[in-house]
Amino acid sequence: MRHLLKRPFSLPKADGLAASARVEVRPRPDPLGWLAEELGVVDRRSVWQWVLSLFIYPPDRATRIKTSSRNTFLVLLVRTIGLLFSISVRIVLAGVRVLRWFWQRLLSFLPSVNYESVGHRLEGWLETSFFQKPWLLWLLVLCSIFFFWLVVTTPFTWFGQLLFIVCLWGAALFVRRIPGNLPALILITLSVLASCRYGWWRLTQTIPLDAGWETFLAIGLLLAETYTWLVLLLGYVQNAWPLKRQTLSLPADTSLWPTVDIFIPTYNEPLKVLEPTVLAAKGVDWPSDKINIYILDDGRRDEFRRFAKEAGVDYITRPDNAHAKAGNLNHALKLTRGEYVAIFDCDHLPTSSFLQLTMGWFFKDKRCAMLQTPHHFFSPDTFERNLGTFRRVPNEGALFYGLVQDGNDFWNATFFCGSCAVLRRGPLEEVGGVAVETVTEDAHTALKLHRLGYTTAYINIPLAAGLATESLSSHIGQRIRWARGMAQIFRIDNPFQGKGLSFFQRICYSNAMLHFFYGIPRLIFLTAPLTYLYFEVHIISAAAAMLALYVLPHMLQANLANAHIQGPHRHSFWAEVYESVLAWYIILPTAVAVFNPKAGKFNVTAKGGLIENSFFDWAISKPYIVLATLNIVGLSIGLGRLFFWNTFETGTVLLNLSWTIYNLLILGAAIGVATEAKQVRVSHRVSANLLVALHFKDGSTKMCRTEDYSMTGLGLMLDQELKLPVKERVWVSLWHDEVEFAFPARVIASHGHKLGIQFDNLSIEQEANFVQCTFARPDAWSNWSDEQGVDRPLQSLKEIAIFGFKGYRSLWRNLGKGLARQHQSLRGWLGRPTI
Amino acid sequence: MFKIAIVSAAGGVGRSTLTASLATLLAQRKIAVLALDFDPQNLLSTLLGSDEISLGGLLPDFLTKKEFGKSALINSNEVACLPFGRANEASLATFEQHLRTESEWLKKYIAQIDYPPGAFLIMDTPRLPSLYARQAMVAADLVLAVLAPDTRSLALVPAVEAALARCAPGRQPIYVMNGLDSTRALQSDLLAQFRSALQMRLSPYPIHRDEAVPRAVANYANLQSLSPDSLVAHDLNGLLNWLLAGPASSLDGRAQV
Repeated sequence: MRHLLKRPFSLPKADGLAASARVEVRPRPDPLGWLAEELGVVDRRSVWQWVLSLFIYPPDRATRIKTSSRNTFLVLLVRTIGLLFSISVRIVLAGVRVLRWFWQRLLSFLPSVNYESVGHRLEGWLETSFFQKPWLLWLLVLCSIFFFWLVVTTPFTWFGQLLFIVCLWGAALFVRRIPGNLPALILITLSVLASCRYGWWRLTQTIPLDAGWETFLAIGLLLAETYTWLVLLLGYVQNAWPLKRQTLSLPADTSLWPTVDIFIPTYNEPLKVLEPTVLAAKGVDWPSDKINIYILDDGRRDEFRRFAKEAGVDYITRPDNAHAKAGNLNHALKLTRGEYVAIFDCDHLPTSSFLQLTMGWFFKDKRCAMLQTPHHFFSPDTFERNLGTFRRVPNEGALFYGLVQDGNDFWNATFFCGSCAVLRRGPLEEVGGVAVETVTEDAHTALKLHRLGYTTAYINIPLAAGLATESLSSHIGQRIRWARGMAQIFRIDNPFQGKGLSFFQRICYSNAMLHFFYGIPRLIFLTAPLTYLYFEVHIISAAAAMLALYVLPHMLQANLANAHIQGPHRHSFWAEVYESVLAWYIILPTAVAVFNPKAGKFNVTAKGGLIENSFFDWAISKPYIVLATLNIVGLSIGLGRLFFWNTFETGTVLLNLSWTIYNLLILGAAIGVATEAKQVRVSHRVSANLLVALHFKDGSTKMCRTEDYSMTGLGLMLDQELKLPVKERVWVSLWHDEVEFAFPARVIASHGHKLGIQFDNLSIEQEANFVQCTFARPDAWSNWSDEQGVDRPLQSLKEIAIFGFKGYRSLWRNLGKGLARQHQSLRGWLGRPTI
Repeated sequence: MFKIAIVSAAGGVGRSTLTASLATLLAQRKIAVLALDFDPQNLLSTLLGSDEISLGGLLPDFLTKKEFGKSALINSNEVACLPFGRANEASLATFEQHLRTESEWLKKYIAQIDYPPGAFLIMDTPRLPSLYARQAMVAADLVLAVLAPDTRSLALVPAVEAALARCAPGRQPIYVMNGLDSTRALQSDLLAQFRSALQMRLSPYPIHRDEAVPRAVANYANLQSLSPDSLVAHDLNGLLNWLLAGPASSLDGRAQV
């Protein structure tokens, strides 16, 4: 205390001050001091600090901040907890490894089966005439219903239920190895059986009947479970038989080909985002007198008008911005006359084969009103960037475009997704143009077309590619819009009411809309075990062991079935992460839309931005942090219950504890997503292996291959090491359809085998050629997901667990940083000179 | 034996260089090849690595009535080259007189060469119209016309067609562009014009102008081993693959044997 008081008065002596200003004061050699500084020991007298620094702290001096003892304590706390986390990760991983070893030993005792041939035999059986008789079919259906009812409703003892699990699980493990669609249906059946049995048991046996808030909470959980059960079942119907439509060729006589208008709506995107799209659209392979390209600029910008003129495309504006994108498209529909309309968002570059590969279906199917292709993204989305899973784990959109749309297509219920699609003008005008009643105008337009009996098609080949949303907040903004729009359609044009839809179309649309109501159920699942851990409330009135025996097959079978159907498009457990991130944010918009579908306005998804520094998005991650904190407290209380207070019901405690731990992992991954990784490149690089020729000033040349390309430059890989001066002028040649295009460029980096070059003021024509050589190549995106691993549920769980731990580590670090910063600013404030 | 005549209507488009490069590339792929210099300039052997202008060759052999093909030279890349040989005005006049009377002289002369099946013969000729080029076109299975990326070559395309039609009715030459500088917009535009005019008869692999070619000649080195990753090496490989898969496949000597 005296020390603190004295400090303001003990000014350094004048001559000492001058001396220190002139020369650097060199301390006497002090080995102990040097060591202390190297290791980061602040207080040399403290043995504890020495121990910590020697054995526990990572030896990185750069990140160390010299702080006071109070801060040391905080940092120490944070780091110790981080250490505990990493130790527990190690333990968990070791456990997993041991389990896997045992499992493999067990499997090696089983006889091997040729699953391929089993698959073929199964398909063969179905083809036999025995199965073609309709009466037999009905008999089978009746029998199945009877047995289904029997299996679902018969009460078992715990042993019976255990046998049931083992049988079901064994069957599923065998079936899931057989390739093909029929095994998928078997797995679906097994899953439906397990889930319905769980549902029946849950409904009839586990609801606490004594009135009070216990029952209220129990019914809440039950409703959430019913919701997931319903979505699961609807999803099975929707994805029962993905169509996997192939492309059709066009008639050889090009005079029969129809006229096509390409619409590129834009509102506030920068020109550099729109430019490549227009240039790519100009290169779309179609008779030049039968294609027109229109920029629909709702921003009414002169810059864009000039660009359109320069690029030789049409430019349309309108006096107001009524109904946003839908209104913009409708306005352009009135001014144009092409028989077909292809729509591309202003950041979706079409490949040159887009129309050649899509238009065939309109010739074959005269009722076909809309053909959709996938939205492919060549930049990582928020999840991929912040978790580092780009091109390794299927992203959030992969499930929809890889499976759901193919499933929808089977039931003639392909949704229009607003971009990368072709529409027939006649039907579109018949439904009054693009729908304006909701904020998801695309899905609503498709619904209207389906109501009039038109067909739609989906081709699962990426024929256009664009930028993913660049930050978590904009990702959430986009999903909020989708959720709100779907809820609006659910209210004002409910697919289960009204005329014109087939039963299965209704199911597909309902599932798409119900899907966006996952907000509240997800939150319930993330907090349900806490009611017991905090208040000892039993919201499920059953013995823990019995609950486990019923709920396990339900979850396990659903997981196995989904891993089989969705395998290449969504890895197990990732849906939980994707949903948990959004859950909190879509509750309000969906609720508002349901109660008042007219409220709210259209928000545009920002794209093409950059994040200058890594940062932790505190604002966005607030809900996850609150939930995680609640769960951590619950976990601690639960440990107390396990060892001291509730030793009489260990099973219940354990069940709730494991549920909480699972929730914590998912929340951790969600927090990890909120750590925004740095994104410095203005234009995204696409990795590709293209042939390139370099022309040097002295007339010599060199062939090499690209590592990646962007709108502004190339990354090249050379066979031999080559040292080139930076800024050296070179020309680079790329090929498109055997035609060579040379572009002026400068060297910006040269290291060993690698060379980075940047283009030198390309003309519009050169840029158009460059787009044709790169982004718009017909096969540009065809092998994109080859590097993705197959879905292995345990592997996936492990990965998410690691992301969960990393999320908490990042949270702790940022918490430490935040505290240090706050402390500093407090000090700065206190240290201000006062009068 | 598969026989290719390299011709052009415009001068200085690089016929000899292309002949030498193609021959070297064939030899490198272990395909037996004879490069025949049917041009009184007698330069092909120099491009293939000979130190001095060859004295012996086709013309002296003809005059001394020696057995044909005995004066062929073989370089370190296993390319056999039969030079034209040193000539003076009088001997040339005699020779040309003989060629005028016997329009299939070269064809007969080549038939006497004992060469392994599947081998290639590549003939370098003076620019059209020429007595020598005529003989070579009559003898050849495939006429490869060399173009330069300029309007001169574009204007002379009909002349090449007419010359071939006169000596081998019903046959059409295959074209290849040589000496392209793709960094010049004008040359790329001209290439596009050639493409639309000649369609499939123009090789999709234009041979680029590249320092690697004169460098290899100056160093008596094989282009493919001196600058394997140069653009021109890539072009030549592409051209040869295209010839072997397309124009040269149906007429392949190997198929005839």
